[in-house]
Amino acid sequence: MNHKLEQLERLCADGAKRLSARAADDYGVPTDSLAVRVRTTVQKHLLRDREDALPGAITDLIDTLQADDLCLIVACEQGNQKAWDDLVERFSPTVRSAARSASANEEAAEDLAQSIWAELHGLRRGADGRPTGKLAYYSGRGSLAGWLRAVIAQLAIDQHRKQSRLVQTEEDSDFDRIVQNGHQHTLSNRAVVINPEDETSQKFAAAGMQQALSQAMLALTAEDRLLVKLYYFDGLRLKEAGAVLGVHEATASRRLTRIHTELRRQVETILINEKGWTKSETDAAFSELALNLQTDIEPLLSTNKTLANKENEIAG
Amino acid sequence: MKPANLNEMDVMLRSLARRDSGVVSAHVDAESHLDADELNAFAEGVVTEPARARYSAHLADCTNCRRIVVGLTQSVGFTAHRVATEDEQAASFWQQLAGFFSNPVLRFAIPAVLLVSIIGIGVIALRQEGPGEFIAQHDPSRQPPNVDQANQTVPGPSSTPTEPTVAFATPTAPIARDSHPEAGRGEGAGSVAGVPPSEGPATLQKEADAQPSQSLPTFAPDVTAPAPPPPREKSAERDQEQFAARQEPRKREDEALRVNESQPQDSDSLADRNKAATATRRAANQPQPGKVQGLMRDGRAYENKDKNKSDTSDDAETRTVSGKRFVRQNNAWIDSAYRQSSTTTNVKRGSEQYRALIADEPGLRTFSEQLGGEVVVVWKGRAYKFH
Repeated sequence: MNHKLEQLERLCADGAKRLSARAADDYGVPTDSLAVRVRTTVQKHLLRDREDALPGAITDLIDTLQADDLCLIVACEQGNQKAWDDLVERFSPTVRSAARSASANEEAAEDLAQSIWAELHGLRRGADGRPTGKLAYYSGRGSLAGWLRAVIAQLAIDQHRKQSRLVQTEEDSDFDRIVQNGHQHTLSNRAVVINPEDETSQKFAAAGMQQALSQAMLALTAEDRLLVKLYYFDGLRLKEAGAVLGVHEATASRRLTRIHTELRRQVETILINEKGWTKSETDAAFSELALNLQTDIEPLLSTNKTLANKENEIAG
Repeated sequence: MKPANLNEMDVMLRSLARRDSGVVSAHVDAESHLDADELNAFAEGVVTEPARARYSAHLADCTNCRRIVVGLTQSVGFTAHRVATEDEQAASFWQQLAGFFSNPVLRFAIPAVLLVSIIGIGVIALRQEGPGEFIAQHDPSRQPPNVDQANQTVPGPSSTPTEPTVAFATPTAPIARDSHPEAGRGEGAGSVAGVPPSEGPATLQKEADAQPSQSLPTFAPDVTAPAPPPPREKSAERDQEQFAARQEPRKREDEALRVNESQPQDSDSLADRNKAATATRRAANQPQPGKVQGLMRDGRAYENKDKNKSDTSDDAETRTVSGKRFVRQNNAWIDSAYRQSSTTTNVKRGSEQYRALIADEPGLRTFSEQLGGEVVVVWKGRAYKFH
């Protein structure tokens, strides 16, 4: 164990030297300080998920860190004024742009952009007397600009939550649900009168299948579930969902088709094994449910072109 | 699985999404949220596989974190280069084959193949038509008949319109004599391959019929006007005068040749002299380039034009901005370091993505602003297309 720790220390120290050499301007950051930050990064991004990582993997991770950005941030943490000036000068446009994206209006964006610098610097001081800001959480794994955007987005969500506590407003999604329920009631009122027995059995089947589908979704791999959420729940296009997952649009489309197949098989298995349905009942329920849902969705499709575009994307 | 079954799942998932929207993230523990560093690493695709699985599991359940990642991905316009994951690689050969012959693929593949085939056949057919478009050409397969036989055959006035194209190709006669020295020896000064000049155009017409392919391309200027022969009765005298004028230089050369032949010389030196004389005549009758090109319909003339065109396209407009060299191609400025294989991020000027990118990389602003229209620039190993 001690041998492993020593090896890790040595790898981090060597890596910190290489990082310092790679940086265009290391702001005079001591290699020891850099090595501490490097070790934190290795723990967080590699050893947390793979304790037995080989030295080669550790070295590779260190060598892919953003040397310039990491040196700049560590220097800022240490109170280097030149580093702070550089940080503000270089990343003010990024901060303003991200704040505008996360805010409803220009005024709120300006407030958010101002507050982010205070958050970065830190309003409180730590045991060593230095300010404890968010800069300590930058690991150098991704770009500093991207990290700043993520910090601003999180800050915007926190501010929104605080405001929501003060003003009790209903979430947009709740409004949507109310509207949808009302719309569904309207649709059902318009529908022709059907056999009450059929209606009951259909509702029962629909409820069972929805439950089975929710259960089947939990059996998907994390990445497949994420794709389903991005595409169906967040309303992203296949291209956008693929970009989040780091795959091409065509790959996302193929993956979604495979997920449909898996879900269908999984739902069938749950209905037959756990709920005692027969195969023919399952097939019939699928057809009827899809038909009913399709009928309900058609009025929405006529007003919502994005859904139609999505179907074309899947077909393509 | 049939497409109908896929539609069923699609409809069911949409229904589930409507029902559960805004509910899923309620179960996520606040402390398990990903921090900004992890979110950014995921959005930029720089996470290890185990970490990626963990992040994906959280993102699938946490709407807030997912929104941040989506925002980060869209603002940077990040396009990941991750190759197919293990599950895709593990797809069996038969699954891949079945996927290749699936309806969506065949629906586009079959028309595409048909279209390509039609275009290919059209191109081949057009290329085959090309060589036959020359009015005058050297065809080795059509060997000239014997001159003596040609003299015996007198064609009627209704010769084919194409044949007169070589009717006045008189310089071919010495060549014939070179190949048949016996025939040329002992003929009169004004004779052409045994035909007295007094016979005029009619005799020449015979000669042309006899030697349709003897004329060389260099004599083409004489046939630039392949008009139908005028009525013989009205223009016979004029033709004779013209013919006599044309024959004057040849007469002088023939006399010179006869003088040389009368002196004992070896055959090599004689041949050299004949070649020199032929070269002289060829130089005298050298056609004007414009006329030769005008003779060719779709052949060499257009090839030359194409060459000129390609030469001008080689001189494509180039500009250098901030040490980078750009070439104008298809109304776009392309960085000389750009490779077709590299992934390109499309950025629209004035968009939020553009502002974010410029904010991160101010150096790109110079290229975007100094070069108008579409600009493809390679910056820090990544290609960006501004439009």
